Amino acid sequence: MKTRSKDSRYKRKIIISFLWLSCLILSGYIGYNNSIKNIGFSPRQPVAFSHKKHSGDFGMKCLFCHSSAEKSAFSSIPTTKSCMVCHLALKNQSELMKLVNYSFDNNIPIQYTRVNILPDYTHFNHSRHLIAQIDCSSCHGEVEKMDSIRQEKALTMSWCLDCHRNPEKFIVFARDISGIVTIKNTTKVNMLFPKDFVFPSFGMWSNDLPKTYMKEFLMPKNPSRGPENCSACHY
Amino acid sequence: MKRRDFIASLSASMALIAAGCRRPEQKIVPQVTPVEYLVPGVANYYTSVYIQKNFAYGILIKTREGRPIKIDGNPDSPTKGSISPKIQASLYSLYDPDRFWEPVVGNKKVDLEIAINEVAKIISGMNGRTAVIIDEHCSPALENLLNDFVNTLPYIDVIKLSYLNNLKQLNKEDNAHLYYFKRVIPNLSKAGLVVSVSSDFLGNDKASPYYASSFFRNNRIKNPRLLCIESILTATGITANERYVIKPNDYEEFLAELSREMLKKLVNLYGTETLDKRILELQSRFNMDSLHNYLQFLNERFSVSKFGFIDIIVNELFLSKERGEEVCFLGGENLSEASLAMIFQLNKMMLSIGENKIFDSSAKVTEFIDKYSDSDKFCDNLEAFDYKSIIFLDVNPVYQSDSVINSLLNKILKANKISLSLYKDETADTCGICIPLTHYLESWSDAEFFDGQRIIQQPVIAPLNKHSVSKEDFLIKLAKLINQSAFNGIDSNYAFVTKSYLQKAPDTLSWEQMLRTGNCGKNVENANSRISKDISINLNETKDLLREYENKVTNGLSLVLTQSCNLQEGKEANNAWLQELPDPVTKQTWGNAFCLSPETAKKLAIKDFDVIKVSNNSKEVELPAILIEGLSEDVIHGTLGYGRTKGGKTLKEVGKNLAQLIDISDNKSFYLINNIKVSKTGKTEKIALFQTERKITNENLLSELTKKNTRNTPKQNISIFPKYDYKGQRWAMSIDLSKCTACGSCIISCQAENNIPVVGKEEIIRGRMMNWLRIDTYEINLNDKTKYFNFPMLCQHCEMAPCESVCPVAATTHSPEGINEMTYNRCIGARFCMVNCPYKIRRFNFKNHPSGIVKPLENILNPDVTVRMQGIAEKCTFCVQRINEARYRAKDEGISKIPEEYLKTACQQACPTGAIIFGDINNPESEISKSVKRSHFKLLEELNTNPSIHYLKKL
Repeated sequence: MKTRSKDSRYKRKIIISFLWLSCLILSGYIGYNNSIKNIGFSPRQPVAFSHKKHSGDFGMKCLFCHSSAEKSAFSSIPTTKSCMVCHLALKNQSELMKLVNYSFDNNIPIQYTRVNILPDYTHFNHSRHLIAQIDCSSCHGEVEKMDSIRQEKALTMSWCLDCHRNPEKFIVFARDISGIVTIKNTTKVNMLFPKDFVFPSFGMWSNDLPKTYMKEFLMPKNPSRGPENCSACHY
Repeated sequence: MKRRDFIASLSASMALIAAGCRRPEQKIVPQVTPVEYLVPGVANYYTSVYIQKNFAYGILIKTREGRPIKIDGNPDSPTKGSISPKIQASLYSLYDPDRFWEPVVGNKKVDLEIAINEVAKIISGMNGRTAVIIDEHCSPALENLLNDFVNTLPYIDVIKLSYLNNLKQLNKEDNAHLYYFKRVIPNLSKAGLVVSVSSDFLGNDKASPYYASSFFRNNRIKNPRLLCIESILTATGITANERYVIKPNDYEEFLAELSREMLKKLVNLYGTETLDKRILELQSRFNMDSLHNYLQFLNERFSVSKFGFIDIIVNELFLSKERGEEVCFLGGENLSEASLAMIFQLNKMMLSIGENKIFDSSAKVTEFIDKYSDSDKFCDNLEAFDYKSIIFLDVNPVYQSDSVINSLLNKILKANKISLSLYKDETADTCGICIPLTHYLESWSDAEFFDGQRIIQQPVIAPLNKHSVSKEDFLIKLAKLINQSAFNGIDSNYAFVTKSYLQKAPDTLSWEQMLRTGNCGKNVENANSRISKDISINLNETKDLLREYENKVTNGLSLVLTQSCNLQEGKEANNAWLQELPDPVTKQTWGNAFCLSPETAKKLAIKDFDVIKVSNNSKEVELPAILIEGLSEDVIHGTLGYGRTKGGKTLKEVGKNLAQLIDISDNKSFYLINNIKVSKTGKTEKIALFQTERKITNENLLSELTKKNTRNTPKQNISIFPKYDYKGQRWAMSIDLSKCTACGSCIISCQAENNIPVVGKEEIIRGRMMNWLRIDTYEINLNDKTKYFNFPMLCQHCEMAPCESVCPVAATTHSPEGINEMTYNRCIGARFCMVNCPYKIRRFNFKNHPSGIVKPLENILNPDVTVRMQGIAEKCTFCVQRINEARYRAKDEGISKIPEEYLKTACQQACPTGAIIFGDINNPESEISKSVKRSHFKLLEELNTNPSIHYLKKL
């Protein structure tokens, strides 16, 4: 009797510890997906701005509003004034414009909720990826189809490295809608474009370019691999 | 409840917790209206001016998203980009939480307008005079403003108050030696040999970074030599090629003997062809008869030869002269007038005074002559005029001045005192009305540089404190409140500065271009009017001064006081960066101490860190002692600028104010106090030292430092690391030991660039400092002489790094460009790397230091560098953020390799002497590759770590 009960006690212990472990693993997995990956995160924004309408329907380029993405590490959110450039004349009385009008009149900035978040110790540089002609949708998904903005990709280190190691598998090359053109590489640009060509601003101009130039310019055959050493991103 | 249910509910709740566990929400707040030139994430640079007393520096301020995060020297300015730790650390006082935030009238906090109204009421409603006390400055706009101010309100006197050195009655403009000592800025870029007589021109001088840069970096002579004669150990003495120690009371005798020997040699050489024409020309300058007379006088008066090393100095001087180099003598602040006169004569003998010579009187600091510029007259005035109210405009006489002025200030206690200051300091504490001032990065002004250029100081940020006001704006507002027609049409300082600039200098560069470059071109009206005037001094006058001199043979101890190299007059004592910056000589942080040589200490039976009591007359100060080799016998050295009592939390209980020991009645010098009494108190106190061991015991290093042109090759080349071929660029650094003056500019630059926290006194005593870069000073005894070596120590970025192999989580790895990289987010704080590093450059965050950063200090952080949390090892990264930025720029321009001029590490950029060179060692054309062709060594090479840092030998 005694030995049996001992056995069953061990059995019970094993079962309990197994349950505990599975609990831990399960909660860890859920936690990881939720808090690290956070895919599908789509908070309610103070202004119900629709990317689908602006970008998908009207064809506005990404860089028209997020203009600092090609110059800076940080892709800027448009200022209230940038909205008002058009909306002073267009749909100004709409219910959705209430907060924007209020912000513009009272000089109070709008507080948007950040969707695609990288930790502080990771230095992601937008302009580097744009110059490599990587489309916005490679990391942000097809924003022009989203009504409210949503996190599409995992944004984990392994996800970054997948692309850095095998860019040809994952990269979406710059599409028209993004407005990406490497205007910074002046030597290259000068070779490609006629001498008296005037560069329009605001990233709105890729449609105006002769298509033959565009094709050659935007589609490099062998995309270069990204750096993989730690200090490329962590410093 | 059954166990099963319990576990089921537990697991369910855990899953729910995990599901609810999301990253904290972050906000993005775009501006309402975009600001011109502001791209989020891209730095903007603005030029400005830093005014340190009457010497101005051109600076370049880096701003991110509109907030200044770093101050560098402006290479286009007349000061050629030289910068001191104090200037760089002035950024800290901009964001200092201890700044004075709200105006106070009586004991009530009020609005700015109310406070200024109150001041206007007091001044205009009283039948008496008002004194406005200001500091030395070099701003022509402020001077014009003050003139206008006094013209509108004739019952106001402006009194300039300067610190101790001006109490010495050095205002006799007609005395050439004093004029040259006080006002003329020597052009050391011409000097092949400098003989510094008790002058700390590379240490605590207000122009020290400019001197250092012109002597070491921009010098036309490749390896200039520096001889130093001093009685205490200074930063100049540590840097000098040869250093001689004499007693503090012997300077006159030493200089007389030197003059005698020099004259003898000159007179003997008269008529011979052995020397250069230049020396012969010299003899034509002096009247030979009077020279002979002078020599005879010196022979009679100072007949005994006391100093054995004079021959060496004279020989070196003449050798240098024969090579066609210019030489000069520099005198220190603690010298007597006779000594300064002799130094002037020596300079004259060596032909270093005159147009286009080292001492050219067209290069001089501005001093606005006014009737009350002398502090003595200030005292007289205070007594003579019964001032009814006093306005302290950014001065702190209660702390800065000696007891005489303090007693005078006590006499006029009845007067209404008004103070304007950045901090609520000792003076503000005695005042009825206190108004916060703006920081210099928040206000307009201008400055006249030593070469006559007039450059604008522009604000780079709107005032953080809405209740603050700039000095100039305060005066304009005050005048307008009393007399509405004052300053006709001008309502702000900005309007005044622009108007006075455009009026005075119409031919110069446009306003915008001047602001952009921080340089107003050469055709400045002022610069043109600066004709070097040749003031000569009669040899007889020097003789007279010498006749008066009598050597007080003192058997007692003497106390030598100098200004602190880091804090100078102590105005920015609340600056934690400066408090934690080690002193170049003693390596002490957070306070001052009495330094004395081991021999003196043995006599007095004092040990290291014993608290000793030093008393002069009735006043006494207790401070711990530090024993340092290289001080003269019977000399105790102390630094001024510590011991502040009011004005913030940081400066509390940091050191003691030694100015209270100064006896004003002793006219010889305020920096030297003879016959002091020293007694032990029996207590000991721990001192926060950055470096505790000053002797080198490693034989390899000793032989490297002492022998010339030998190089120990590593004995074995076995390595556990796989061989790596650096195909692209490979970063390396060379540090020239003969150029390092231990000023600490690199340390503060690194601190600002890399978000290095301040740890405080307790942590430094435990050896837990966080600085990635430190400067060690080692002493070596060579043929009975002590030689000093300054070693800037940072991560050596070893090719075969001992730290990399022991990290359990691969948080420290090697980059393809030779950088030993540190990944903070991987680090688990095992500290194996720290144990295995032979250079002790890895730092560990024992406490959560970033949590101590309170508002608005967090704005000082560089967003390009991660703020490290507790429990993480960190170290120098070779400024990898700057390398990456330069890489992007090069890529944008279609260059595959980063050109050298795109990239400077923070320490390299700040080094005034250009001792640090950083670059690609794989490129044979680069500056670093060229510099390492000189004889150099790597630290602890026998360990086979193969560091990337090359130390160029001290010559």
